[in-house]
Amino acid sequence: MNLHPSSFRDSAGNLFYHQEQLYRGINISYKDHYDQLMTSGLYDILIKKNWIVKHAEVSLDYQHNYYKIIRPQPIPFISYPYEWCFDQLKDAAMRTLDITLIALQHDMILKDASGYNIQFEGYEALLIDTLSFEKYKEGTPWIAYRQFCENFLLPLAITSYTDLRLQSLLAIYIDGVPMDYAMSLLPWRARLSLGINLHIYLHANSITKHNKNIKSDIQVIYITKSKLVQLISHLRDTIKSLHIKNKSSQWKDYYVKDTLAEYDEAKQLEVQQMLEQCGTINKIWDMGANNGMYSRIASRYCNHVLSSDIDRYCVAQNYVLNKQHEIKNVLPLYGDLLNPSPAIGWAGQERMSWWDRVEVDVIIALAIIHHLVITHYISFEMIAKLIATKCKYLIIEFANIDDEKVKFLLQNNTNYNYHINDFLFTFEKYFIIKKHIKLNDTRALFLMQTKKQ
Amino acid sequence: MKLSILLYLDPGTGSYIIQAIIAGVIGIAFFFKNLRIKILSFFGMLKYDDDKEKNDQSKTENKL
Repeated sequence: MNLHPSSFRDSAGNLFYHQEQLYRGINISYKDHYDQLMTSGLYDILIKKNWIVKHAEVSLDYQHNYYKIIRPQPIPFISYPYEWCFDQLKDAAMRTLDITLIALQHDMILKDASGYNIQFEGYEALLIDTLSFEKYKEGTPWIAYRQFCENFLLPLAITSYTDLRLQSLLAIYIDGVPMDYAMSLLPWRARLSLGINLHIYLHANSITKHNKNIKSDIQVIYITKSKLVQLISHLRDTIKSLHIKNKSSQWKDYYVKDTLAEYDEAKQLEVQQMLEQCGTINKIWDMGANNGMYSRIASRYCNHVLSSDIDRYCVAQNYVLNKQHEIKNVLPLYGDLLNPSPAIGWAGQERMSWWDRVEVDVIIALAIIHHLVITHYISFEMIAKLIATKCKYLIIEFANIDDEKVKFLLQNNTNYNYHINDFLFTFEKYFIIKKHIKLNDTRALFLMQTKKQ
Repeated sequence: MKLSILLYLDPGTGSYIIQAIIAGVIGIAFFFKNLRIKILSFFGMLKYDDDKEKNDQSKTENKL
């Protein structure tokens, strides 16, 4: 039995691997809470709404250690809050609060409101921590209120009022953005919002005040259930009122401004034909997906698509478009190939690095390689070697030195030896070229199969 | 009925206390919100929540 490296905080149970399958052991001490979740109708409602991960109760050798063992349904791509776009974080926040409100109707409440308890399946936010419910005691405040604010409200408020890129703070602060830090980042006009004032400023003041108050060991606090529901509903309204500011970004209008319709049409057709040639595909990763146009095309040929981009506005656009078109198997994420998400947390093992999580059947790399090689000095060798370990097939676009974009990039890097012959020579060390199509005078598309190492 | 909770020098102390205070403030806000809804619906000027959700979503889409 291998314990999951992130499974040490919860006294209710733990996650472990058995024959490469993930299981959750439920401790005897959590028996009453688990039974209430399952018998009160709460679990059934959440499953019906598709708000919680499904699980099956199973019997394993380790049974004597636990009250019960459950096997949660696997999530196609594990993602973390710092990789979500603004709207994903907002939807995850709203889902957490909606689940809390429904739980209260069943005399339960969430004792844990961490962003890591939510995972996305396409655009559906799912609660994955089945053991984060506990029996609600009339009169008690919400134990996870501060955690919720630090994990969701503060990063959403900061990014909404200042800059989307600050969502990356969640990768530095694994337990959520500290309140004092968040307040120092918020502009004065944030105070004009009653919700921000109450749930952030007043909340932070109260924490500071009562941390110093050593004599007040015992406080008498009583909040009726209806008041608690009002508090959580107000928090929900506050989150709902936060939006992205309309700012321009380098890549946001790429498909509108920068590409030619005719060329894109030919490319779309070729990508589809190449995907058909790959046979049965479970997972595809579209790296440098922009607003996900090709990810949505790829979604018809596989079970799951990971659609990553370095521009948070593009990721947000991608997410909203998928919701609009009800494309349920594309997961847009913020991903910087030059500086991918590291492994973080205790012993650097609690949250996995980007490359430890990504293993797919097909990688799509369209109009990206010239940026990596010319602008960022990543060699063909470095790219081919890394990609070959993570996929069976590669669909890659190459723009030659006569291409307008390449010429522009080469203006500042004239010494760089960027040529299709170098590209082919290097990639053929790791891949077999199955198909080579000329898209126009300067660009070509390749289907490559990874060589068995 | 009052419920006593042991609160030591725990980072949650202030967070628990403030919930009671905020709940009180919100209670007043909810009272006026409900009053507003009642008055608006009396004059037939109330919009449905569904429309409001849709408007909010299109606001985000337009901004993108």
